[in-house]
Amino acid sequence: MIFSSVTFLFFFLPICLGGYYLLGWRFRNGWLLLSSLVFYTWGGGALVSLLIVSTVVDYAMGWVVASGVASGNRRLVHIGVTGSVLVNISLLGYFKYANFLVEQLNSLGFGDIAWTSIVLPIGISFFTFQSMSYTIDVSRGRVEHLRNPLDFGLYVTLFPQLVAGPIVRFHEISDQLQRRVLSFEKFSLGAVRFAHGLAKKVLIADSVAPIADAAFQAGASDLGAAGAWLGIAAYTIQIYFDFSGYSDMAIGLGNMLGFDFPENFCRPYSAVSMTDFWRRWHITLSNWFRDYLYIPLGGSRRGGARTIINLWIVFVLTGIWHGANWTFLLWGIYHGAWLITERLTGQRPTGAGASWAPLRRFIVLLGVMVGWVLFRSPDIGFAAEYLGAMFSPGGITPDVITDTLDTRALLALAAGIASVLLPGDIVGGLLVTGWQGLRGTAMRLAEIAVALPYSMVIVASGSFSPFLYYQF
Amino acid sequence: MKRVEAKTIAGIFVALISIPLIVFATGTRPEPNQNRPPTPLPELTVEGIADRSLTPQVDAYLEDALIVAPGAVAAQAWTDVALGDNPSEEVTLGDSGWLYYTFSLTRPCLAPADTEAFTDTVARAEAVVAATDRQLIVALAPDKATIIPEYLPADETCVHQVADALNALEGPPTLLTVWDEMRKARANERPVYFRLDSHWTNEGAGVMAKAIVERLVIDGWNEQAVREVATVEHEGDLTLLLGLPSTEAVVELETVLPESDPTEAVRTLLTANGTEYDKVVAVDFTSGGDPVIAGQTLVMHDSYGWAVTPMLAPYFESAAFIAETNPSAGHMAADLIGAETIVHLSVQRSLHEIILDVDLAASFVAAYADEFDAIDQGTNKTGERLELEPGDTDTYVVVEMAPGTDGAEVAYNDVTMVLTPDSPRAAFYVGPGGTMFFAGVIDYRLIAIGG
Repeated sequence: MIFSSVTFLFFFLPICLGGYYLLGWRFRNGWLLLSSLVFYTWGGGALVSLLIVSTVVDYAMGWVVASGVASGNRRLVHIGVTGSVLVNISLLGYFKYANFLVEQLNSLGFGDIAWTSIVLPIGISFFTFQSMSYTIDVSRGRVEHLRNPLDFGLYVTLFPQLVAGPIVRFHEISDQLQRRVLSFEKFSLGAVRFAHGLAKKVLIADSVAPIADAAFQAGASDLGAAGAWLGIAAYTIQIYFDFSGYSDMAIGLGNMLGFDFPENFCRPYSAVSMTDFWRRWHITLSNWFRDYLYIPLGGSRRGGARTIINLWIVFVLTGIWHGANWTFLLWGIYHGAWLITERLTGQRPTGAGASWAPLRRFIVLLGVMVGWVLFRSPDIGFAAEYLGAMFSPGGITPDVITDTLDTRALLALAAGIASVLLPGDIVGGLLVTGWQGLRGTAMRLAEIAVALPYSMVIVASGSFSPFLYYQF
Repeated sequence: MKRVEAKTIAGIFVALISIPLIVFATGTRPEPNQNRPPTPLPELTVEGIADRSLTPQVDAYLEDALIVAPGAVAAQAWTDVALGDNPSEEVTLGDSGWLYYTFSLTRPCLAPADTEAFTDTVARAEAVVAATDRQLIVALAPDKATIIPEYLPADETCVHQVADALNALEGPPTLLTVWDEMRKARANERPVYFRLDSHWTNEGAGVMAKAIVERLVIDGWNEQAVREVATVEHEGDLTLLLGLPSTEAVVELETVLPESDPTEAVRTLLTANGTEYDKVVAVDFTSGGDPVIAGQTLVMHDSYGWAVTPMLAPYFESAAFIAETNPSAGHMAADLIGAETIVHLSVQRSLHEIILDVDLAASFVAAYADEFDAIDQGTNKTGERLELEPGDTDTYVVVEMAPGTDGAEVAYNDVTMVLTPDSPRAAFYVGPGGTMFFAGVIDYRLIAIGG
């Protein structure tokens, strides 16, 4: 089930929120757990059993780790953490990468391995990472393990962030699983945030998506420079508004349920260095890798060479975390190379006060867009041709792209570009929920009374599929 | 955030998401606005949930049952119109509010080989039906764009090229086209096509009705028998596609022949298996007096047949009008066998799908196979092949699922036919050097027409 669907907006959400607020505290976690399993099963079907097995195994491993921590038995702690990591990485490896691996082995001539393609379970990259964070956080003594398995089940499966994040590390939410505040203000802030995210998704991202799709479905060799740039500009807007919109909705839903999820985006296209970009883009993934991989590997404390190796490891894994394709690996390496270069040259400012900030922003945005070509392309050959089209002047923009340029798409593209390029205090972004005074009230009311209904109109009309010839 | 603001926002949010649910819970459903019945609630099964086949159906059910859906669709469409965008790619917005069905404008031009294939197919169909001592008329309805082109936003050359090519065809005599007559009829007081619908009006359909009657009986058409029934608000199918349902006033017409006392009855068709086939209804007419056209007539038609029916039906002593264009369909068998005259009516844009791709002539052979002597026959099973060579005259191979079996497939010249208990029979025209492949147990017989 996706947030921008009729089933979620008009049926699942009111029933879930209604039940949650009508029930007493004792039953709320159970209700949310049940709702989350329904939410997952709606799209995942029988694969919900995998989510349940993963949850049970990690809960058991958490017990082992907690027992080790309590008794000072480091071996027990080690067994629990290793078990959790092995199980989760194995699940991720099998379900996400086995198809790709077999395909590569077959293409390299290592025999013709008979293989039935595996269905990728929805959200597996997210819930496995969250599960691992539980055992690791408990092993570090940072938080206590959860005694109630329902609470742990809720942590892993909580529907707002189950399938697309933010990745909530256990220590960020452990207290809230047992005690959280519900108030009109929090509910309202959550509603506004949800409306903001839904509008980003359906008004901007979905409107510019046809332009990007057309550009990437057209033969890269047939793309003129203008068409290639238009396509990647649209994709740059689409991916940000889609992903950050989803995160906004997740955070807003969390607020409505009394949770405070960590922020996942902070105007990433305003970054003044690629280092800065990664502090603003998919922040919770960066934080996860930093806490559970980069720092345990030694981070930047073991000298320059080791730091570079650690960065490579983190970015190679970041790349393939996004998908089983050489393009994602190359995308990770590409960003790793940027960060290492910035580190080696000392050019990695992260604040708005950086010198030559407009020029830096332009260069970083250009670099990010080049990276998105790798990210969006079906294979490396296509990416190379697409990049060639971008940087070869001339050529004719194919009709398949110009046909997508209706007024709605162009307005959405213009609004998207303006909102990422204009200063944050003008655009507002997620700050809308925190603005004070009349301006804040007006903006919030506009979000809830204009943007939300209009987004709902788009969702409700999205399934319109009339038949000319039904009677016949 | 002030408490009053928080309460206001929470109230608006809760109202927006919960009112549609409350309305749904009361059993209230929106008026259908998609030219089809709403998706029914599927049977809830564990297997359906597990294999993820159920939830998309439930999603579709909920989407259709959402009380605000029609309003949302209209709001979106109006927004598109206000922005200068087209709400639906399926509809081409013409000048002065005229709408055209995009599919009819994007059909490919007819190459000389296509024209040849078309005339050949119709001529073979005529020969097949004539060999059973029946009469056939293959009638082609002109696309709206070829009769009323002046409101088209661009020069749609192919739709006109197809019309011109078909209009210029000489024979076969069974073919009936009315482009010239329709263009002349534009001078009539009443419009021949709807402005907001892809179809012709009764006035336009009357032109085809007249052509059919006069093909069967010289001077049989009675212009004075056309009567106005009422002026009605007709909802345009193209406006439904746009998401902006709207109507236009049109005068409904019918034929009332002085010498007839017609009756009309709706009948449910039966499949070859004897079960009811509820996707198509048959309407039986009898003139009840002194008929203009004697005997039993079957009119097989597409959606262009609806407007023709009230203009044409009273002329027949007895006629069945059935919205089905494939003669080999199992539920057509009884009516085809009982008919002495067959009128096959379809629109220009469906020429490939309805006449060429299914091979109309072979479909008639399948329907009348029992009336021909087989020149060869046998039974083939899965994996077996049949090498086929044409004879001196038109040769067809009729394939039929063996009695007692559940289903079968036959492939010949890149065409695969699926045989089912409801529709157990098909036929192919035998060309040079072809091989037929079988899946299942299949009886076959070779039939030669003519010669």
